[in-house]
Amino acid sequence: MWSRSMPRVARAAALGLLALVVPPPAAAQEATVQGRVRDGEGVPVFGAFVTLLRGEAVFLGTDTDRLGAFRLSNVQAGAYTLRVQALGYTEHREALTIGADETVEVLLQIDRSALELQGIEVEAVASRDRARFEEIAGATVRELDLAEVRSLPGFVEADPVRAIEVLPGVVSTSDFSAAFHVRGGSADQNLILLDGVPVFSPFHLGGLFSVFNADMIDRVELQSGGFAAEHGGRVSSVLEIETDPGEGGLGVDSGLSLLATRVAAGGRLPQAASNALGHSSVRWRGSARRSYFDVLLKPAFDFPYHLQDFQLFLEGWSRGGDRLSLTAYSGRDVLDLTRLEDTDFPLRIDWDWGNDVVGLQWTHPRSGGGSLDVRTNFSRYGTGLAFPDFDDTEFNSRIQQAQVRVDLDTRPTPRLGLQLGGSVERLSYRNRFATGGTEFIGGEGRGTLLGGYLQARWLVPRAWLVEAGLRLDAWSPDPGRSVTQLAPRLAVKRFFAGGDAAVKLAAGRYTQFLHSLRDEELPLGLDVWILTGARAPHVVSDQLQIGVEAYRDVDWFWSVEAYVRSFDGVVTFNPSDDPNTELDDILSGEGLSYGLDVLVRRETGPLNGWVAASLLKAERTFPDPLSPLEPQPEITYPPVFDRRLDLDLVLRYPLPWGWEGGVRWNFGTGIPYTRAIGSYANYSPRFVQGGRLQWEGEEGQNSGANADYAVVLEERNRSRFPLYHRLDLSARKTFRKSWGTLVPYVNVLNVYNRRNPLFYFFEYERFPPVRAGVSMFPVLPTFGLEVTF
Amino acid sequence: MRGPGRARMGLVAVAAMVLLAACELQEVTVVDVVDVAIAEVFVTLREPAGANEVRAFLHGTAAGGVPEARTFDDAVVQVTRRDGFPVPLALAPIEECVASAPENAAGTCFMAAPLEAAQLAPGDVLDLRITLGSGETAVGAVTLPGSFALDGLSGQCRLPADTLLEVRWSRSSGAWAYLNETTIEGLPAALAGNGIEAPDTLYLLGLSVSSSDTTIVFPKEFGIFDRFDLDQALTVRLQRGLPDQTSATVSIAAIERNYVNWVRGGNFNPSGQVRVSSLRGGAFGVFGGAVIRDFGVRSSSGPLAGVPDCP
Repeated sequence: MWSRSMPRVARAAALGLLALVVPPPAAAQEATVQGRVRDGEGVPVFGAFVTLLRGEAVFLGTDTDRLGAFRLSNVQAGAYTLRVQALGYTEHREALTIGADETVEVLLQIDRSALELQGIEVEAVASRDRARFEEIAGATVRELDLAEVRSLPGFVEADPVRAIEVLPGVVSTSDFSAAFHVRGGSADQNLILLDGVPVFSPFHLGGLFSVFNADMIDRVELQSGGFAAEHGGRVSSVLEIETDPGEGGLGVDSGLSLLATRVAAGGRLPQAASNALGHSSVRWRGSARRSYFDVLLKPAFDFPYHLQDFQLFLEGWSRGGDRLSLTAYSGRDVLDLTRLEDTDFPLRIDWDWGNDVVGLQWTHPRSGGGSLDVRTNFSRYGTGLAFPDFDDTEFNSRIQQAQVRVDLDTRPTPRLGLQLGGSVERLSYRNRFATGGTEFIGGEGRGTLLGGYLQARWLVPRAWLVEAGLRLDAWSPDPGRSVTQLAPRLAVKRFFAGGDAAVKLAAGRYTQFLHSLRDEELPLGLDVWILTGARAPHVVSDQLQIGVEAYRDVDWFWSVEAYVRSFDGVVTFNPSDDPNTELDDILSGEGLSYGLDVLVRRETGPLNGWVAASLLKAERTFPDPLSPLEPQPEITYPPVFDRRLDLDLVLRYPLPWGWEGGVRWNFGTGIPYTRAIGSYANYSPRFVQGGRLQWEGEEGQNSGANADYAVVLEERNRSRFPLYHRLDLSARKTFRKSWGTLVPYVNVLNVYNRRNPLFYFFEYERFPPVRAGVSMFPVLPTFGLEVTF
Repeated sequence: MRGPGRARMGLVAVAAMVLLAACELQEVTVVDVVDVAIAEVFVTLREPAGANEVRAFLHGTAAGGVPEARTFDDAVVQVTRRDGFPVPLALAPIEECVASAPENAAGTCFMAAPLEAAQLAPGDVLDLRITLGSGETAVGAVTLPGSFALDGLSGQCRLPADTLLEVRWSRSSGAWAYLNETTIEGLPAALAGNGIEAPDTLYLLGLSVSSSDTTIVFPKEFGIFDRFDLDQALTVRLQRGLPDQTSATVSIAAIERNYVNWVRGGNFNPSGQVRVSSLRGGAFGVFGGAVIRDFGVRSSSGPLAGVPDCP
């Protein structure tokens, strides 16, 4: 279903194809070296840096994946030294003679060491980026590792989700919200995965920061476009958060911030226990986090809010290299106003919200590369608001999903890779907001989603990379009619400059079968999810992106990517919802976005970081159900995340006396808002008192909090806030002790105290009329301490 | 504990004020004020039809920084039944339209003659045309809700103290909701011994959404929008029923699309409540209709002479 916006997409596609028609350079006959790296216990080593050396000169390098597997393609025949380096392991070298067109399979074992190899981590991350550059044609993938997440100046404590705001194509609309928008997509169009398990609303404090504890995180990877056929369910981006299983040694990471205390511990099961479970090694890691203001302030008064979350990760390896992992998360925010004095708060309220997630995954590595994955997971999100004194009131919302999926990644030849898989998902939701014997918002539904995909990847090293995929989703909602949606994906990448640069084009269709009805114009808020079906349509997004990206030496990477996206089936509340019609409370519309993302990144060296610039134009179009005209006219407006230019400068650099510094400067054009153009006394008729109009403001109060005025608005989102900019700084230092490390850190947000508006208030009832408002974060210093032992 | 509670509240308030002050933006004078005519036109039908009323109150946005400065004495307001029967509205004292208003508020009230208003009936389709002195016109249309009847309730009835009354009525065809209002009298005296403060006349609002939601429990389910504002002890007390020796008037108003859209409003805006207009052209506002039924309740532990018991 190509939307009316597709001519623009088609034009861009034609331009992209033109860039690819020049014939590629002929590929020389070249060999492949592939294999796996494991430790003495047979556990695969993830992130080991594998290089082919000629003498001491690096010829090629890559890093190992979760299964310890690596592949070095495009190797010229000859004699080499194969070197393996990994944090916490001794360096391993062995000689290798490779014939023309040969595929060499090696199994490498490396031993643990007390010595740490400086710089390996940075190189490994850089090599992962390089491997993605060489092996992925379509998806735009940006990774942040834990060190980068921690060094980014942040709000109170390191936050993996807030960290991605600094990446190209990502727009955040408020300092108060960690929710993000990617390339003109809504926040609910981001698929957020914790170890492969979807998390519906991963935010604490109504969106102020994410639920992910940085101590448990290994890396954060954002696919901002062009993602492959294996991913379904969301149309805008895929954010994958991977848990760090640790090295297996008993260790504790703890932290104290202005918000919460947290502890994460990890270790390895005793060998006998591991063997009893049929594994050669089982590693575990768990964390707990809780805010402490309610406890700290208890002697003085009852602070009514706290948050808590728990996370557990288990990873077992069989002697044959199979991996079995379990990830679990449970978190709650609790606002308990039932214990306050009625003089402190007039109404007893008990409100909580949170996510529960559990996932089990079995991975079987295949000889020659690739793997078979079997996963089952369950995820739910819910919120409930209770008024203990009023049993006629029920405010709750929940959504849950259970999924079983199988994925096979196979590599029939060194140049051809095939991925195929299927999944079965069962989803359900229920929303009910009722009080005084009346249901104001209600709805429930369920559905089954059958998904399958096939994706082929054909690689001519340093010349061509082609990915072709097809995804089929069959959605059976209740209530609603079944839908079958084909989603083709195609990506082509052509390398030049010896394989250091490439031009790429990706096109695809993406589908989504659920929506959040959260008002995105509110800085804080909770998601209210619904499934598509009779109540709301599913989203179909056709997307096209074309880009150029290149490495310069080892250090520098740059990319420029243009995109256009259409969105059919976006939703908003129907302002003229007829209470007598059950299924008309949602309006369906269309969206369009296009833009350009630029990234220049220095990946290694003491001073590293990046500049990301994002140009975006987004719009949403909905019918106007309030209009008396036939046919019903449409209203087109820029959504609140339509930030036309968003610029991020991120730097990491060494400071004197062993401190490590971080800088983030964010500059953006103003986001749209709807301006009030006039106000008037807010009267209501009181039929019980004769029907005359009543003004409920306080007598004699023509303005201020006790005045009661309504406003007349201009066209939706016609005005824009002024330029947004903010400079954040961070500093952290690691003190190594005999028992562990101490890391104090300081963040200063909005160093020059820029008053970026959050809201404007127009008060026309005053004389003279004024525009006042509230800004986002003022200058805000925060500090904390991390302890590891 | 109330004293220390206030002190703690003060501490929190000071902290909140410090934080808010840090986030407060400097006030800027707004120069481009837009002058918009606001028209609130309501047709209310009661039994008997002689009690029908058609009112239009025209006021304005705060033009030039003077609140509610505008009057519309030169406007012409005309309601016409779809069969062509005209219901002209004539100038009336502002008090006929407005019971309470901001200080120095201005505006112009128009009312239909009772004889013509009495010709209107539930289910009628009406058109509105407002011609402003400037020549601009605004138009709207409304379909009045259908007639309905309370189930066994009329006039006054006696409700035993601390007893809940389930009010039922028949369905009003075309209604989008029922606006349920009550005013309760005599609470200060009745609750004096309990230490609960109450106004002389307590107004509470309840709501039944959709034409088929035709019940509400009195007084428990009234006041749902007032639970933040009223004394918590009072609202909790009314969950049990009316205290002895109090009385109440209850009205059930079937309301239609325009009125519902007007009161439930639109998207959040920090500058004030947003209402959805059902007028097009030179004015912003509502042309709403309501069909109203009402009854009285007297709370008493024992029988009351001449007052039947509530069903």
